[in-house]
Amino acid sequence: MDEVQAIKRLKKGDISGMDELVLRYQTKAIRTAYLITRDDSTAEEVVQETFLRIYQRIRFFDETRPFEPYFLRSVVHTALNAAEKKKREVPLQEDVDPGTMEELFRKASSVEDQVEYNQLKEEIFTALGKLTPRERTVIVERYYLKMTEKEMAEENEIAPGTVKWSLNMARCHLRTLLGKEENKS
Amino acid sequence: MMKRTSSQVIDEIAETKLGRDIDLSSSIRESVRRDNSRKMKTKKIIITVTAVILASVILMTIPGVARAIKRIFAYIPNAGIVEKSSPLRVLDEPVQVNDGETTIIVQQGVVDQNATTILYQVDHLFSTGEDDTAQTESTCDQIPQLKLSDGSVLQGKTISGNSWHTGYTRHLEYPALPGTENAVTLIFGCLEGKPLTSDLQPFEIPLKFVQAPADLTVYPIIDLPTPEGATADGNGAEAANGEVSGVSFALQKYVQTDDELILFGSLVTHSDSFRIAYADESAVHLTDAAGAEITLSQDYSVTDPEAAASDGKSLALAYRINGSYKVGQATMTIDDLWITLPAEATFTFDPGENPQPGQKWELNESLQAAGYTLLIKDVTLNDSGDGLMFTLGLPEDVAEVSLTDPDHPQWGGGGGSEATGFTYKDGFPAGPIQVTLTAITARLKGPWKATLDLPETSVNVPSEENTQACLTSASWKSALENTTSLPAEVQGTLLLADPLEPTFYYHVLKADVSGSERIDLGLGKDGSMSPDKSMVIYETDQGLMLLDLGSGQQKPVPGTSKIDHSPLWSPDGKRILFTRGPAAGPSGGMGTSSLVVMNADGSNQQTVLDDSFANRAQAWFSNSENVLYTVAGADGATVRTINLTTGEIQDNFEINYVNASVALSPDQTRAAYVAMLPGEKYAVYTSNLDGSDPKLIANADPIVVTGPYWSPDGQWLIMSVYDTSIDENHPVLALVQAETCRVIPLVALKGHVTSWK
Repeated sequence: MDEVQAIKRLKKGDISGMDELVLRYQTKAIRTAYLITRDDSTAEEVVQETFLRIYQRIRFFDETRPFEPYFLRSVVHTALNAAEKKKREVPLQEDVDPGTMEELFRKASSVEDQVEYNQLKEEIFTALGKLTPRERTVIVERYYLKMTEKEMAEENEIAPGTVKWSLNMARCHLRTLLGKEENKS
Repeated sequence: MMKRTSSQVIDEIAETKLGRDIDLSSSIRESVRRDNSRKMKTKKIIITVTAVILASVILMTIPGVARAIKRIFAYIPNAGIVEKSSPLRVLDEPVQVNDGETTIIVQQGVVDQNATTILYQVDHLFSTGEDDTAQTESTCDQIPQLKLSDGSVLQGKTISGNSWHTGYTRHLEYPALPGTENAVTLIFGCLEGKPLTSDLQPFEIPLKFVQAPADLTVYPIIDLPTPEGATADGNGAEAANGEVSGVSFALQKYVQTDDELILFGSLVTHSDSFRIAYADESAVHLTDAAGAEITLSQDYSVTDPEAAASDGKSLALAYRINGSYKVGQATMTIDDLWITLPAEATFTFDPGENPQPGQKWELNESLQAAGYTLLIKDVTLNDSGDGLMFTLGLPEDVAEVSLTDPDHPQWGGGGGSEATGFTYKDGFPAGPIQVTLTAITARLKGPWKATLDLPETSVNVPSEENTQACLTSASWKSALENTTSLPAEVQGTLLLADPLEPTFYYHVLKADVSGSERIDLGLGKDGSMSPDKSMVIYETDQGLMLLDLGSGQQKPVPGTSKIDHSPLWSPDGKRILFTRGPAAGPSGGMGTSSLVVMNADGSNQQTVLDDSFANRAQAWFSNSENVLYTVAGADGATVRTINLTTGEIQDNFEINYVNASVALSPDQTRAAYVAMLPGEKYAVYTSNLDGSDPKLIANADPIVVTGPYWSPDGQWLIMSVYDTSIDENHPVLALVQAETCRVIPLVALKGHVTSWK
């Protein structure tokens, strides 16, 4: 599907344009929001809120530019805000996991045994839960949305060095958490 | 060895943890609709780079643009406004090419001295059985280029378009072709919407332009008499409350086509102190000679070239009138509009010697600018430590403000209604920061009025019986106030789909039409009851599910998955028809859908229609052989009938709403369906099966009414009414007697009816 037509229709007040966008992007958006917020209800609220904001501002969106990065960036930001609020309410647990993020992804990318693969996925998910929302966001942007550090810098209007720093901080935090697990085991 | 990317791994994690696909379509649609109906203060956000704002402010100081030299314009449907000062050229004939099952038809091409416009349609984007991978893979988002005979290439831009489940149309604009250039080539590097695959093959479509024939359909643009547009009442001078005057509104032209009227006008400021940002569509009204408000829809795809200006001093407007009106003097009123004012206000903020990411400073700085009092509540250093975000407290009539630090370069900034900020290019500066307010977007109150004589049109045939619905906002309100008991003949069992709190996932519910005996049958939707009322089939994220109402036993239908939906039990109870597809993404998304029939126990599944269209099963005929179904297309949905034994297909009629649901009356003479009225208002119609004798049953705008379903005796229609004064999150049900127009609210029942036995 092409979002340009959907946005054009939306700009004309045709709500079916929103239907097109929702159908196309909601799955990835909900998963993105869920990975950051780790709560399905919050993720739904985040995506719903983001779509509503998009609708309210659609007339200013340049439909010749790709919609997906713009939209997912909004989802990420809204999810981060939601996760930050939640963070204050629910203290992080200090559970631990094995491996580094890269190692986990490397293993998960090639493991053939389904049981082992499922276990690795569980470990990655648990490891993500130990990160701060900001760190999780950086990991999601880099490894899930496949944004380059340059893109992350451009999308967030921050210096590339800052992205690299954030990414390294997230990786280091993970490594620390994972190291604890390794020592424990 | 199996290889997965990190993205795939994380995606699987999220999918597994979430458990199932979540479809927010209905809740988002509802949110949007509520947002529209609340008519709350409009808080529009315009992301505005500081440099653009500054440039605009400078532009405001330039004297007015010289009056344009008189040019002759005309309107061509689908091509827009063309200049007729020199001969027009048009596409010699439509050109069709096929790429596998996908068809690309270049339907129209027009060249005037300013531009080349191309209209083309793509259909069967997804081949039979091909996955719609749009949600999981990268897809082409390029529009074609236009190659000239010398090899040079013209880049186009999108003017407008349309899309449906299996295709789309595109209206593109390119620079004007040179006068001698009549043979050009449309080059598709890839086909928009198709997955980007390694074996992608670019393709070309040769186009031939010829001088426009004399009988080309071209509508003249008619100048209205010297505008009687007026400046806003009471806006002649600076007002005490900060309103800024000096805007005039006029309607200058109109185009009268065979089926609609397009009005062109403009808002012009005579002031150098602000520029016009936009006028909300909800703030614009047209009242005809009878005093009735006529539905308008703003059209961003056509602009009067003589009204358009880039200096911010004028705002070109175009509105379409699709419905009926009383011929004679009409008045267009704009209640208010939004303007951008340059502002000059400064405050200093000292972050101290060692500011930390995430650190917040309470400011509560009150700024006076352009007659408004603005509050800067606090400022936070972003998590990256190189940008600031300010929390704002703005008065009702201010939509947003822009802040900057003129002493240090920034990546960019933004305007915001509740918060705004910027990021530094060279890192966070040391020492106190001088923050400058550069612009305010504020409401300018009207009203502005302009009059015109609405001409008689070929479609202007007011017909009371066709425009007056049974269920209107007034009749609904009246019915709510005068509650009546359910007529004795209204009986039976309903299956409903309703998103239930707290998760708002759809559940299948069973209830008596009186509202009693409401039972939650579980997660799922689109339930259909067997004729003997002993079994229910419904869709879930795991596939179709059979439920024995007697024992409560559930049985998944083998071989079905989340892409299978809309199951319908045949009248003889022997078979179940359902829709399969699209192959990926939520049901109703992009991609093809086929019709599948199976035995009532789920065995012997057979595809009966799989033709690269987006088909959707709607209703069985009583012979349990014929089925009514819809096909999504460029102009909405086509209603068709297929004989499941012979495969013979018959066209019934067209509906202008692509997602229309269609219910068949028990005597099989009438269909009930959702359609769109001008202005994108939801309506419920009934008609004969060839589309004749349409009757408007529901038009309760701004209340949305959808999902009609016939009572077993065919005397009543039950439908879902989104009345937020009753329930914010769920539609309530209404009964409408088609013959008498009697309306009975059923507020105890909520959701959408998918079966009534």
